[in-house]
Amino acid sequence: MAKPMHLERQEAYEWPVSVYLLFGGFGGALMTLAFVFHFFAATAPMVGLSVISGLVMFAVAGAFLVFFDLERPINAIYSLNNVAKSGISWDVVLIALNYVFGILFIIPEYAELIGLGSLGSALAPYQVFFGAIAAIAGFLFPIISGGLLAAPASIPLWHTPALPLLFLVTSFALALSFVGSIFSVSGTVYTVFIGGIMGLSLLVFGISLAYLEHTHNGPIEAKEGMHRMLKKVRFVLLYPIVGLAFPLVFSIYLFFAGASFTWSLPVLAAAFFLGGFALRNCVVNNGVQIYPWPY
Amino acid sequence: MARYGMVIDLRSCVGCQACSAACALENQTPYWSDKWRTKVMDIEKGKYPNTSRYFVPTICMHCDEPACMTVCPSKATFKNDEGFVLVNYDTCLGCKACMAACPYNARYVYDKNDVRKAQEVYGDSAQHSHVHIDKCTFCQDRIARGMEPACVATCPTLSRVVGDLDDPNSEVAKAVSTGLAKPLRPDLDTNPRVFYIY
Amino acid sequence: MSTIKERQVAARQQTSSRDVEWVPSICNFCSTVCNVRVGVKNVNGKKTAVKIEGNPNSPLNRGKTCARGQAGLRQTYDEARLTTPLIRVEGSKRGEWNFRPATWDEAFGYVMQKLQEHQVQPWEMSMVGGWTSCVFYMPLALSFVFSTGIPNIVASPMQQCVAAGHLGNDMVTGNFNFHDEVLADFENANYILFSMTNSGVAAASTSRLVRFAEAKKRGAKVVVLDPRESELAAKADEWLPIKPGTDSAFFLAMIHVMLRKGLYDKEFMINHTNMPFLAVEHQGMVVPMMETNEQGYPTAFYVLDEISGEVRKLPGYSNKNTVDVDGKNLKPALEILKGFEMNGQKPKTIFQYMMEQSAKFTPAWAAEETGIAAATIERIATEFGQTRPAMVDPGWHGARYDNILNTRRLQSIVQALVGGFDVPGGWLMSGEYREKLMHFMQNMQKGEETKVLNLPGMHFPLAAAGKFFDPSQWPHGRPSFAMAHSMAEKAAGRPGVIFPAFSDFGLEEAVEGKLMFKGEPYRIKALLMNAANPVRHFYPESRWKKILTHPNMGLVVAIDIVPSDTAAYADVILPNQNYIEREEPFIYGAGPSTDLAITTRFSAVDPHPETKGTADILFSFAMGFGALDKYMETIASISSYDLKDIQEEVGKAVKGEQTFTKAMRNVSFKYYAKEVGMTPEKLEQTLREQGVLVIEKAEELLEHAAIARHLPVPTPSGRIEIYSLMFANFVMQEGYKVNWDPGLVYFPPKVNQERKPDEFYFTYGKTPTVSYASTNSNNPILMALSKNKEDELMGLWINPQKATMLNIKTGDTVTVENLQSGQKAQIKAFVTDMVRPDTVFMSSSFGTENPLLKNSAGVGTALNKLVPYQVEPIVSAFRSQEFTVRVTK
Repeated sequence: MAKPMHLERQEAYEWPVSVYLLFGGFGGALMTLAFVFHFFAATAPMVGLSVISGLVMFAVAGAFLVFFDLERPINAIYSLNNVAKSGISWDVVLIALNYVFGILFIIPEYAELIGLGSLGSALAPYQVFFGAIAAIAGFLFPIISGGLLAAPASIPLWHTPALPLLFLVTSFALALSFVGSIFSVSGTVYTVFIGGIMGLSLLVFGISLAYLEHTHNGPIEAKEGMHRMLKKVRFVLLYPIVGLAFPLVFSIYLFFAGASFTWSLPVLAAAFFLGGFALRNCVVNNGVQIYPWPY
Repeated sequence: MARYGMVIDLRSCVGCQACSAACALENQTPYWSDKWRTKVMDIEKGKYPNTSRYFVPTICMHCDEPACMTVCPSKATFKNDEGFVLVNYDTCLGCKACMAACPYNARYVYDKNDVRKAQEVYGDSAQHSHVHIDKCTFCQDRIARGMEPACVATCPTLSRVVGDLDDPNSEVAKAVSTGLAKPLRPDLDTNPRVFYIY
Repeated sequence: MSTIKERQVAARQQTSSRDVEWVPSICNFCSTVCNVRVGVKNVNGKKTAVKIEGNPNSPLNRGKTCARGQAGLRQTYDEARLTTPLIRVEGSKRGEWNFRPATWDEAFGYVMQKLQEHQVQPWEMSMVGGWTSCVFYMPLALSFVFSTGIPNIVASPMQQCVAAGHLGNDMVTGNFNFHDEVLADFENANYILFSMTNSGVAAASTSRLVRFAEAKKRGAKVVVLDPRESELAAKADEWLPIKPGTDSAFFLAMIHVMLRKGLYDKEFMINHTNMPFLAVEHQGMVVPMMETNEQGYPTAFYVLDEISGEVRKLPGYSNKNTVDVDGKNLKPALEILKGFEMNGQKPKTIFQYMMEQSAKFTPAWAAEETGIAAATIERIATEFGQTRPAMVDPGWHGARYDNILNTRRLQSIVQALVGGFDVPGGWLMSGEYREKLMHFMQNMQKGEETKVLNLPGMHFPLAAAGKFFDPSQWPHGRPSFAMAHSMAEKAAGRPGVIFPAFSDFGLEEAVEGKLMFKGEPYRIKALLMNAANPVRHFYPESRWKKILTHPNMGLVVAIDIVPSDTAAYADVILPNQNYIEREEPFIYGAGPSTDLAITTRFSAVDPHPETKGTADILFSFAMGFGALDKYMETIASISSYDLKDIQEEVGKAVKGEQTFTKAMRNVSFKYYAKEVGMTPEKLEQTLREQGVLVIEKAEELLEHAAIARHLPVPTPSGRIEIYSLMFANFVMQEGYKVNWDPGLVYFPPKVNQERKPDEFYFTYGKTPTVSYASTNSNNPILMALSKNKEDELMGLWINPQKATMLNIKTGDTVTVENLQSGQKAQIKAFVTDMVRPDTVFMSSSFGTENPLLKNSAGVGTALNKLVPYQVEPIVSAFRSQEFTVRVTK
């Protein structure tokens, strides 16, 4: 027996989609960061490592999508049929661009090592161009994949530009803390990372507020979705506290106190990872829809 | 070509679910998993003794601006010549973007288990042999033969009427033009071809 | 525009009904008997049924079918189908599913051997029939018992429905099987009032539903009396949650108001009812002044002619009061002046007595009884009386209360007050019924007898059931056990049952050896059940389980399609063909179709080779009993079929040239071909193409064969009887009892009025997806449809006002205890504002137990776990709601 104006959870997306969103966004942010590192004359390993880990993240994301979410994975071959309109088609294009241009981007750095020196020198003049394409594709990925959720007007919890933006900045925060923590293994904590993370945390905080505003003053379905999310301990603990407040406070502290602990960046990365997953997972899970029946 | 539409008259529907049964048999939908192309909501409202009970049949609205179609990565969802929104079972990935996009909850996954069960129940006359996202076809195969969709043909309360929305003399066009029959969620700009009288 | 590829895709997406051959049939999923057509196609060389649709030519269901009608074809492919005769394994107990497959010869041999072993005499057997048996095989079943000397048939749904509620209506209109003879013309009514029914329209009788839908679309006002908001009540403009069992008080108040405000069809009252008849008071009873013949049938009535002021004598059996016995016209007076005297008596009209009797039934009084505000009752009575056409639905499913016959009778009286018979927006008689009436009248004028099966309305049960009650009609001099039990009860000073037609009254006693007739025990040792499931259909299940497992029960034979709960109690199970597979032995009238129309079934798919049709099984038994010749003679003597034709065709069947079903079918086709002026081949072809052949349209029939206006009805007087002569006759025979008061009377339901907080009135009803206690719950589609509304269809409805107090939530398992009998059952709660706070409700559709019914066994709760054995005294109708229950978590 249905109650009037009843709200029902959407039935389309399950948890694998949140893994896809997290790792895809992560990978995309890493690709963009690699390009940034390249410009700011960072060391070659930093660029290379970012790109390679970015591609690994895409692989994880793609694998989750194909094997855990698609009902008929074999038909993924048709996924490029609607590049003009479909977000999923776009995602596939972006991943492909990342792979092609990401690899082209780093070949000049490593060509010598694998005995392809001539290829490396042939590609070297275009390295910036390749890197830029990979960077743009990477940057777009969290936006477009987040747009998958933001598209359906009937699920107002998702239907806001704040959501892809939130996915974008949280992805960057995760990616930056991830790269930073790898380089802090040597014992040196680069302040630039701490500064970047603080900035991103502030952005995450701001966009989170905007998103909260959307759900709070938005349609009843959005409010209900957020209400359901806030009832989940998993969410409240992992996103607003671990994934948002903690990194913000901690990075501000680190930045202004000039403190440096070798464990600080890995801890921040872990916090962003957990927070990022909780955010995506709970948003996906609690997309509620109001049945449009007239009673 | 006729622009087919449907008017569902909630004044006479008693929630008998004949439509669901007719559809399930005509289209071999997975009733064993409680998945239906059309079902009837049974809604209770109000406090005793001022209680009301409503029955609302649900179905794909065959929107003129289908939200499900744009999001489909493989263009498996398409509109045929009559304007019915159909799924090409051969190229559907099962990504469910269409399910999320549809405001009317008109789609479901015809999954592996369902395909297996369909083989079991219908044997060689099984219509669905692959996993795909399934939805109402407006019984376009029956329309092509000059028959009404199965749910319309059987409805004992005459709650479902089909006709040409472009023919001003058709029952559906009259119900729509007089405002008696209204679409659901017009705010979403999907332009449904299914209208409700309530 | 779509692409070529997309067009190809669309073209490939074919539906089940593509390329099928449509074979006409009749739905067998409920007794609405809708005309359907079965879509058949060849799958791997095998004819397979893939789709059912309503037959568009049907004047009854107009091309529509409900969920059951649609899903029905899956019964053919039910995993649990009985496909071979089964014999109980030696040493196993009835109730256990422990059978061995056998051949038909073995099975028949086993039956004969057991009958001999237990020395079963003809009267020691009883047939047990379900509605299919009644609707499709009446000529065969009745002839079978008449020719073999078996005076016992227990049939459902008699005590549950046909004898129970309907008989109340019958007392007014003379009908018998109301829902087979009357189709309410909802589509032309402007005001429709329903009482105690959901099954009859919304849950779901398609032939009614299509007409009701027209009324709803047109905006007719609908008022529904029901303690819960059923599917039908959901469609009401006014849902009146009446206190259970008090509907008769509502109708009495309506009569009170309508009589006093003059809101009745005066002309109809004067011309076609017994309202103007003169009557006197005798020992506190109103008695019409009349003359009778030796059998007690009226030969004359008296009225006062308004024109001449004289008392005039009217014929005893007629449809109108405006011509006296001498053929002179008159205008009977409804009311006569005080002080009028005749032969020293001071008669008044029946109308005046009804005015007097209804005086106390004021809306204020009814408000106390029903819980509906007096102003509402008064308003509805007034609206009803002022609107034309206004209609009270005749109702469906009786039983429930001691007062059910009275309730249905009173609602028929309300219908009579607005003259709503055979007029647009009123109760329309079926074409077949009208045909029988006309035929009966012709025979009467010619002084010829009408054959039993052709008798219209009440004449049929009086003749047919009367045979079962009369010891002299049987070579062994014994009436049915039900009548014997009634006689024994009366002799012992206990209440008997006046008309225990096809009843189980006394069966338990007969099985236990406690029933005595003329100083000898009257035992029942063997049961032959056809399409019957008494373990579920009758109350309570424990009684039938006891009967079936009693050591005195020598043999139980069950003819069925899928293994019902009762089949598990059989010794021999004979597998029947289902309605998709079988051809029928007869042509039938098209149910309650108002057009005169005929129809039959055609075999759509090949039956399983080891299954048989009912006709073949009955003929085999008749041969086994050495009664074949007598069987054929009896068939011919009670039906219109020609004996020579029967002998010729059955002769071929005996030789193995055709089935007995085919033999009778040929006889039937030959008869009807002559009736409609075609060759049998042409008739066959026509029916195969159309499914239904309309012989005369309702509109034409109504112009010359409307009841009351043109034809007398099968009441004792031929008139619409506001004052019941049949009941008056019961008073003379049995003494007065409120149950058969011939006038206006109220008796409340016998339930505890001082209820504790956890004590509730108990009500039940039908769901649209499963017929009453039926094995069709095992249909996978129907079960899926039922499960997706599990709370409301399978739960115990309880109002949140009480549920909160008892800490009960939807989905909680609660125990329901019958506070009268102590029976208990567990069921899941459905907490809802759609039911009265003092009442709980459950459906009668679920709770099957046979584990072979994989989809339905153990799902939901069976109604007859809670209902005790208690029957009312006229027809032994089940008083299936006359108790209160306690609900605990």
